[in-house]
Amino acid sequence: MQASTTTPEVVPGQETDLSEAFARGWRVVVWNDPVNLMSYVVFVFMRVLGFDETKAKQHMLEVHEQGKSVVAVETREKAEFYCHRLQEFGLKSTLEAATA
Amino acid sequence: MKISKIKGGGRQVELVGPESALLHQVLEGLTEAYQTAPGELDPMVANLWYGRAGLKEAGIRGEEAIHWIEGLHEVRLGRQAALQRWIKSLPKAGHPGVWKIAEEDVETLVASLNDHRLRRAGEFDFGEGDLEVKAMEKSKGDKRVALVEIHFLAWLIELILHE
Repeated sequence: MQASTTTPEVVPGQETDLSEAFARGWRVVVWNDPVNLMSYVVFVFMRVLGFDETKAKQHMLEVHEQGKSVVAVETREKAEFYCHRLQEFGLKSTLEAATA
Repeated sequence: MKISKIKGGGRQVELVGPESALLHQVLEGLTEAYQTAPGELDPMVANLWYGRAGLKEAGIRGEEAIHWIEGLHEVRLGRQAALQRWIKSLPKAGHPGVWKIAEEDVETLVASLNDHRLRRAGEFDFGEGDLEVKAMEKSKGDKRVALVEIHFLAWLIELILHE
């Protein structure tokens, strides 16, 4: 297979959109709830976010004691992926712009 | 209930009669609830499984929000085959026996059992105080049944995760 030699065309104004899309400007927040078990939350953090047990427990305790924890700061696409995955497991998660 | 790890992965759960009956009830209830469209679910349950909180603020609106919720529903619909497999492999409802869970099913099983806990809590709008064992002992009727299911599944999830 040959590598393309075409230079991608950048439309003025799209540069900002692109830099926003690739900047790690989005926080994934997990919120406390009364039903999910602590051990289950640790398990989900390890599976979805790839945390080791110590880090997963730290974030779980932050959720439990402070009501929420920022579990990732990522590009928009990756943050959406994590947020959706956490919701698939029944965790209350939201996205926030890091500048907010 | 006793749980042990099967050689080469997976879990083996020894159940007494009432436990197998309860698990049949849980898995059959989940099958039906997963097939139900998000908009047709009990609003409190829909809020826990398919909540829209924070979507608007994150700029996920209109078609994108619909797509987001549909994605969550598809994941749950995708658990149907596993649910049917587990129902078939459970001892007959009300009978004691051994239930084997394959290693590759552990994650989906735990997530599904947790969904049932969320569902039952949503149906009765249980808060932190309602979920204490003391509250279960004092409860009656349908509320008591829901609390027994929630606590039993918590026990099962803990055993699966710690084994």
